[in-house]
Amino acid sequence: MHRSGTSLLMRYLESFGATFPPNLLPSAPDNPDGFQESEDFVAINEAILHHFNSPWDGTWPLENNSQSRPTDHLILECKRSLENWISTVKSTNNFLALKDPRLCRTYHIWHKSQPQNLLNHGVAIIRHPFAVVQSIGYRDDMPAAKALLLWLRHNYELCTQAKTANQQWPIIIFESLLNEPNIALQTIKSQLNLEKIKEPPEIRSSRTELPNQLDQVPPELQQIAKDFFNAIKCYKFAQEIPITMLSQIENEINNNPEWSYLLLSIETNRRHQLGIALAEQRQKQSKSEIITKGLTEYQEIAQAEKSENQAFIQLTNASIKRGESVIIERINLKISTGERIALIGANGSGKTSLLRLLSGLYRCSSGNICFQGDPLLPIIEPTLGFSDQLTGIQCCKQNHLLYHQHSIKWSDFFAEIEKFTELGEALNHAIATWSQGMRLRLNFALTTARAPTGLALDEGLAAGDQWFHRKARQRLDQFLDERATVVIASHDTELLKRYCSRGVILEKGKITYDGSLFRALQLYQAELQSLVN
Amino acid sequence: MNYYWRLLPALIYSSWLRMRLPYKRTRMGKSWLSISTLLSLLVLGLVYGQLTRVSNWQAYACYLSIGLLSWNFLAGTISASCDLFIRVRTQLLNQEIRPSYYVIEQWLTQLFIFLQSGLLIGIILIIAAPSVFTNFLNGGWLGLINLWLGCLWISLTISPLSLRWPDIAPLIPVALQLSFLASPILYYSKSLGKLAWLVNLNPLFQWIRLARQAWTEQFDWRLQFGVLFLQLILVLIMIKYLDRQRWILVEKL
Repeated sequence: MHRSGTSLLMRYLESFGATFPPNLLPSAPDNPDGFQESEDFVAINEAILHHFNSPWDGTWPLENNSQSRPTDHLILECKRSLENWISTVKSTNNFLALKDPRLCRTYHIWHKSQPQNLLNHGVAIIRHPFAVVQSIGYRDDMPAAKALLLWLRHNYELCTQAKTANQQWPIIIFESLLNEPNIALQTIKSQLNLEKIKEPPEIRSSRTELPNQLDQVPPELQQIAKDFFNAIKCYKFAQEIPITMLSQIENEINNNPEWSYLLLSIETNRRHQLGIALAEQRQKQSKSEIITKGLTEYQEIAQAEKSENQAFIQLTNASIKRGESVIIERINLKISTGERIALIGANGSGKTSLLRLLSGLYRCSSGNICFQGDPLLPIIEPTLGFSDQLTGIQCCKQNHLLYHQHSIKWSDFFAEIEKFTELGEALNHAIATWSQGMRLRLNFALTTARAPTGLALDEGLAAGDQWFHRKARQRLDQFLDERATVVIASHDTELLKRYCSRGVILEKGKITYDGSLFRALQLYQAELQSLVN
Repeated sequence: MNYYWRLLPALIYSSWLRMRLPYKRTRMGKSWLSISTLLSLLVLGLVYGQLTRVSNWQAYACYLSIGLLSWNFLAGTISASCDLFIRVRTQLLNQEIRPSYYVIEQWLTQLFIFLQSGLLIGIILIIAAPSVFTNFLNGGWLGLINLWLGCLWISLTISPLSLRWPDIAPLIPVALQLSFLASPILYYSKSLGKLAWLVNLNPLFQWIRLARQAWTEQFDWRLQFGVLFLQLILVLIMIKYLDRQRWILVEKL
């Protein structure tokens, strides 16, 4: 978990020849030797946690918050990232080491994404709970009780993940690693046949005395954590920790209402304090510092060679020109089956043109587009009929004759559309009398009734009303369950977060970033903020 | 052609709707098409019959009716082709339907208008002169098919051309008007006197001639079947060609 010495362990592994993923986070005052964490992998883990409605410091179980939504897109994103990383590794002599404290909670998703068992070893590094509470409290200003519950949650899930993986994950106690690194690393060295190829890291950590008791934390909770830690220390591998012990911890952190009330009161107090601080800040009209990062540094990673999966659609140096103006410029993009991609960019950046290209409505002026199967089905502008004097029924009938006459009877088709759109009597009237929302509703219903393998949605969809939230999202969920591909162009970050895992930023017809959605949204928002200022 | 065969019900349905839509709010509905054509025939027939001193009014009525109906169909199809792709711009940019679909759809609409307009007139003519029906069976149907097919491939040609060269669209109504006035539709060609040779230079009139050949002169089965064969080939070629031009059309929109 966080503040447990994962960075130190990585530096030791580096001395044995470990290769780290690209795009590592820069060092920080609280971690001057660097985190050895890749921004790309952190972003995916954040996306996984977000999928389960949990922040990084969420202390509740992920399963209860899953909303029964499928995780296929996340699994695909994990797989793609791992394969990307491996494809960029030149030397085969080294072993690869991936570190992120969030893996304690997200490993089950990564585990499902490994066709060739890419993550075939694991190490559980565990630190004394009070030390973690001190460190995390200092760094993140987290109340001790919450930090202790976070320690319990992470280490409990770490042990259960080890059992799920069914691999021998050696336990390394941080304090032992500091004092006697050779002994602490013995198991992993023999397990992986590691040999030192360079000098081990210099230990800079200042060793502070551990308190006997934590302030403002119920003694029972402290005792539970200490007992769990002392028990863990007795085992060599995480798998060996008995299920009975894990069940006790699970029962405490999942089912004990006392700890839930404790967390609730902490959160309430924290919100109150935040509200006061925010009000003071507004009064002073202080401007927050805007962190802007250049987009170009991410381009190389975004454009790195992708997985060997057969692409559903592949664009190679694709450009669209209209007269002298270039709408899309030399885009390289590979979309695999089942991917959910968000197209992000300002108006006029070429999002709609790219959607039309992916839908086969436009062709490349230069470059190449290759489809494995049908192009995406476009929902870009409402195209209900040739005239708005047509009634809703006439539009449905025309659509039925165009696309469904051999597959479903007209009466059944219309009944389905009527039920889905909830337009009722309005279907008998000319669509000229309808609101924009009603038109979008019928258009969405008629298009998605075709059961496409891929959808290209433009932002107009997000203008949907309450109906959209109730019904259209349900249909989109169902559609995505069937491993269909979707590309959404929108400014609605909530919509994108809900449906997409990969983000592509377009700027003046060029792709400036292609990677995880979280990172893409961060970069885009930073870019917008810098423009505002 | 399988694509269009599969979509034939949709084509027929939307063309039928297109024909009916302008009369949606009226009491008489699409019957206005028959009534307005009948009124035009009556007025124009009386004026031009008097002007050209027609002796056989029954033959003139048949001559005028078939000529005017055919011309209306021809002019309607060509006029509608001029801005067709502009009118269906949204559909072309957002649906994967092939461009020829829209041309065929508007051509079918004109065909329905022709049939609807001609229905009442046909009944009146058959009652007044039963030979009209006999002539229809003796080749009249083939002449009309040639007229319809001719309009289809002309439409398939003009639609993309007028998108490529927008100046075509304002020229077409002028050309149609001049061609109408110079064509023996309201009058017999003998009324042109020494200028009768001009009729042979009028390309659009040739389809009118083919359409009413069974009623006005010796029916030439060989010529009619030859034209039918040629036009069928032209239609197939143009549909295939236009569908391949889809992306070029979209770029022009």
